[in-house]
Amino acid sequence: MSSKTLLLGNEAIALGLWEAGCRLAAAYPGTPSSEVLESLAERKADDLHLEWSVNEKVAVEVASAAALSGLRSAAVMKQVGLNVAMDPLMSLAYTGVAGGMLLVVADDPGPYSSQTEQDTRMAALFAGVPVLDPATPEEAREMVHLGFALSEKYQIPVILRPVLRVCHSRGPVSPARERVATPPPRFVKEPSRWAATPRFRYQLHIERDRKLAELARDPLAAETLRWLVRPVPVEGVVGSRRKAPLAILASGAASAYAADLLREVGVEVPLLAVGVPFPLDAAAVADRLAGFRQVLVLEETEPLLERLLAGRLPLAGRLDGSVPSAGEMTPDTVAEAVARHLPQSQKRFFAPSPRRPVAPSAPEAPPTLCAGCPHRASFWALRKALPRAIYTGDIGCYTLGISLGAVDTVLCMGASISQASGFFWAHRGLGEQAPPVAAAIGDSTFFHAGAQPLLNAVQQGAAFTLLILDNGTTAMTGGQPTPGTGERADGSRGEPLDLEALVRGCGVTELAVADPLDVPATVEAIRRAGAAAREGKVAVVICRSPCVLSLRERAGAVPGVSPGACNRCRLCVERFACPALRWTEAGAVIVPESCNGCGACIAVCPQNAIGRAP
Amino acid sequence: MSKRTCDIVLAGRGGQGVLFLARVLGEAALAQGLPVRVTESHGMAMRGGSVRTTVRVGECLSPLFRRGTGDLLLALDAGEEAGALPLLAPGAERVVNTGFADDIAREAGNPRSANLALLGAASVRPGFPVGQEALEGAILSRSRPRDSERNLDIFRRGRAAAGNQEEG
Repeated sequence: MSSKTLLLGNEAIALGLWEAGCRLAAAYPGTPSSEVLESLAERKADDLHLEWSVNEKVAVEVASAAALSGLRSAAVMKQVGLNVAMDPLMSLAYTGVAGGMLLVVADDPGPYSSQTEQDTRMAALFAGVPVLDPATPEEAREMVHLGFALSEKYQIPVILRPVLRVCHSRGPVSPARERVATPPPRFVKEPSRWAATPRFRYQLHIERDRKLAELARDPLAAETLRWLVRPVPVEGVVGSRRKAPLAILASGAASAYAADLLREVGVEVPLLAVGVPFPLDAAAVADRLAGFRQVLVLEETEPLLERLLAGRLPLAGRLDGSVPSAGEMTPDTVAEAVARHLPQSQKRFFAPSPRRPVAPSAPEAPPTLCAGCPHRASFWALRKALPRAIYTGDIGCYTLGISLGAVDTVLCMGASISQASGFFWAHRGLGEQAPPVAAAIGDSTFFHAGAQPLLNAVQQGAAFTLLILDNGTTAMTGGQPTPGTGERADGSRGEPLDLEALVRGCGVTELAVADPLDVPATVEAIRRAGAAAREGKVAVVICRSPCVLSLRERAGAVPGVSPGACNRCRLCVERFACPALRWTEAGAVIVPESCNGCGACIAVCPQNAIGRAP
Repeated sequence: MSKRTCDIVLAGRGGQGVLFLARVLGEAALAQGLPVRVTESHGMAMRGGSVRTTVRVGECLSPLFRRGTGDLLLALDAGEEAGALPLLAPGAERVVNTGFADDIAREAGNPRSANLALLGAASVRPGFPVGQEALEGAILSRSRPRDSERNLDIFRRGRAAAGNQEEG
């Protein structure tokens, strides 16, 4: 029996934050980062403030003030969230911090749940802040401690960058250590730093670069550069490793894949792992790898180490095509790259992966809106009310409205509203022939980045229909609370934010609230909004119905299909496509175990063949 | 070559309890003193689509393994078997829910626990890395109290249905 527990990488990071005496953690949910704050909330500490901030920029700014007060603080987000927070981060890199400040930024190579597979290590390079790249959940926890130590020593924010495969893998983690006691808050006024004007900013830039140069050679950072597989000197040959043909240099999760592979296959290729890819002590890396005829670099997702080491070593990697330039690093991509660079004498160790003949099969099931999801009904009503519109979409479960033909664009958080404005202006010259424009955005996304484009649209005189799909939660990432619920990260309750008042506050005069599960009424509300948009207004319909995942029981009785009335048009299974509707030889049927009883399909059937028993 | 891990693929659809099963298997291995790593998928992948996770029992740094090297497949949905085949080594054990696991779970009164019937059937296969006692302990600790006895029953019925009366 071991005393270790099986922790998710994100839980291990939360454990590290708790142990390190973190006093404030602010986050916006986003896959694969969301479980960090949730897990921290379960650990509780009286001197720890937790919050789901409305967006990542706000989270970093809130956390920064705790760090300016000498406390340890953290901001947690996914990689595209850091784009939103780049503004405060760029500036913080100059001003620095007083207490330790850690940004936990989870990357999504693949990507699996993101609009890009951007590499946060490159953002760290751009901002000029150190970044740590853990390979396993255990290492991620230790790097929280390392990150705070480096942040305090050099007074600079530090990024911990776990990739999805670290965040969302479980590994054995040893029990919690004692929580570090930290001193009380003390903000020391220093306007030339905390409120620096451009003249001082120039000095701060010089100071930032000095910090980075020193940190690169710090003993704590240097410890993370280590051999996972040591070079073996050949007996009788002095300095024989200098004749070795191949070594691997790997950062983060890629070093775990490489270490597993080398052990499994049994080839002796030295493997040097990097824990602090920026600032990199390039001279130290070059020294360790001097003499190898080829150094294969494995990293996600951009060739950062390759660029930082260019000219110092004979490198192979993403830049020369040894590793595909896009996509997640996997044991297979690692094996293929290693096999390609092995000397002929060792290639026999790599039997090509046995590829089984795969029988033609049904394609993998794509994700879909849940049975009973109110978004499906909202999109159905939107298509009914404004069939020829340009539909701008946004980030959340409701991105899946693509398969209902109700989402034409998805750019980034909040862009549904700004793009609706832009489409309106782009087509204005067509006069009566201009297509209607309709945006759809979720409640959490609206609070994150929707209010500003909405007030902008109203102020500029744009005209379109906007659906705010208010299901009272941040559903895609696991149901975190929104300002509209009044619930806080620690479970305490505040005043729910009045969404209607916020929308009116943005200058909107045409506002209706509809229950999307009442399909005919919602169609009517959207039609009226569309008419107001033709009259030159931004018209908003709040489609309000709780997320089915938050319901404890069915919304209503399960409807049935009357076989005699079904004319087998398949519209319900193909166009409405609720997972509870199945096509059988007898026509459409509703699967009771899957059905949530929302009843939206009743209004969908043109034959009125779907109904509830009287 | 020295393969020191037992590499398991769990395949199913969102909502079938793939993550629950992976967690039970991982915690059982750990309780038995075996090193183990488990992948999970969250977010967009959990909206009713195909869900595939891997469990590696044995010394390793990553829960992922190469295509064509998996030792065992547990498919909670027969339709998900084909998609998982490329991960498996030739001759790998496959335990597929052809409907028997659903029948067992329904008969035992908890239709949502078909995953545990399948685990029971898989756990008697030769080479399965975790023993009955550790698995049952993990099932008890992971189940809601009101489901725990019934879930244990479903797991045991799954074992019996696999036609092997040996106690593991």
